[in-house]
Amino acid sequence: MSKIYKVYKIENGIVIDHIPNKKALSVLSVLGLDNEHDSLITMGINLSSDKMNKKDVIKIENRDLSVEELNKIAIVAPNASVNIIKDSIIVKKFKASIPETIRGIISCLNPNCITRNEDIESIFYYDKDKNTIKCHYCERTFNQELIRL
Amino acid sequence: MKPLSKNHFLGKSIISINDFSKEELDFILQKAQKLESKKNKQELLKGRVMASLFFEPSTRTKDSFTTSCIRMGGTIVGFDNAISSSVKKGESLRDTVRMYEKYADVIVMRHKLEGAARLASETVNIPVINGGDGANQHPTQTMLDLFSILKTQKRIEGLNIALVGDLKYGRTVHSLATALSLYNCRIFLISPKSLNMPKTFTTILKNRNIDFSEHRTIEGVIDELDILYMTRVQAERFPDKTEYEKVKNAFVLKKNMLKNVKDNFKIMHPLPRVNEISIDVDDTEYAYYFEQAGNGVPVRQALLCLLTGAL
Repeated sequence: MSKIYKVYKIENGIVIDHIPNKKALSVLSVLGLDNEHDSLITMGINLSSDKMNKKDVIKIENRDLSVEELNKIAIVAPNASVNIIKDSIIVKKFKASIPETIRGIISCLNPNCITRNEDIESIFYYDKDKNTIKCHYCERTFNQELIRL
Repeated sequence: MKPLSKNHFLGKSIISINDFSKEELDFILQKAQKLESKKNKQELLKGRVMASLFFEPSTRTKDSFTTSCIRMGGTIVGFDNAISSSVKKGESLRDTVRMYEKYADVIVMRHKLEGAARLASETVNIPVINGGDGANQHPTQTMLDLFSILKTQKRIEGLNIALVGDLKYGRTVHSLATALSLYNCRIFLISPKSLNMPKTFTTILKNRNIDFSEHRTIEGVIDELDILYMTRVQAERFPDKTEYEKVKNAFVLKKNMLKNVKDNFKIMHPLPRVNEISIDVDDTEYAYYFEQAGNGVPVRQALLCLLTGAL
């Protein structure tokens, strides 16, 4: 029996699955696709999931994004899985992992940080072992869970 | 290991103590020692200009840099009150430092925002020295502290050093503990429980296998110490003032506590001192805090010379 898709199947593009529910819009924001004009993007929010109870899914058609760009997703959706589809076949599948250096996406939690007061790109360093991020400027370290965009 | 080249610091910025290796700190301390004993250094910075940009008020740091520069023949431009500068008109930090880049060979700056000096150093092509960025870093204070320890004890490695007072919020003690972790010292952390050294810094000590312990009074350990580094426990750090009243006397150093200290024992303090060291301690052979402030001059002179290629 063929699978019934709530978010329809795509032939070419990217499928981001296992996004924690209600995080799909944040994922689009991280990818800079929240103001996208060309690609067709479909989203499923609060879909049922065996593993996660509820999850979000995003499908982006006819659009290439590098693995480096896609890894940024993990900042807001740590367990998201990425499938790159070509001619209806999954050609690459991976779990997004937070990059070691994160530029411009995260806002520093320290209100006295220079990045909160001057119009500059934030830079953070991710420590995978401690699951912390450190601000390049104010040198404060925060738990990954506290990250905000 | 290959020794650092003479020009290792040429054009570099001094932003955070975390950026330095032990080898680099030793190099700076060595240059400061040489410079302190050097005669005829009045011309070393002749023709060079130091921009002194104090967006935040400062007494010791600003005047220490000013003295360091003037005594080597350098000239100073800048401001010590952001209200009277273009900053008041809304000029961004980056625009301010870009302008001073055209006037000066080195920038010394203090700013209330954390990371300001790092941003400045990435904006201009001349060296920037961080004279304090909010609660974050004040690396030249740490360097003069290390210099003072070295000068009084002839070594840093293996000493018994106590850091006393507000270890939770004190920028000075955080940076000093980080730097001392490179020197295999035995560290005693003495503070009220609510002002313990944060985990971020005790983790650094642990990771570098530094032997350290936490204490609630000075008396319990003072006789074992080579260096007692005092800082102030401020009443405003305690939401419950009764708690402050209970602990405040445990962190005041009095002359009668010095009866059995080691001969080489020295008391340091980043100043200003309020009441955490009794006045009668000042006349003892152990008081070193005013000399310590004076040590800012050779250390800052060494930095100004190394960064601008004058040494």
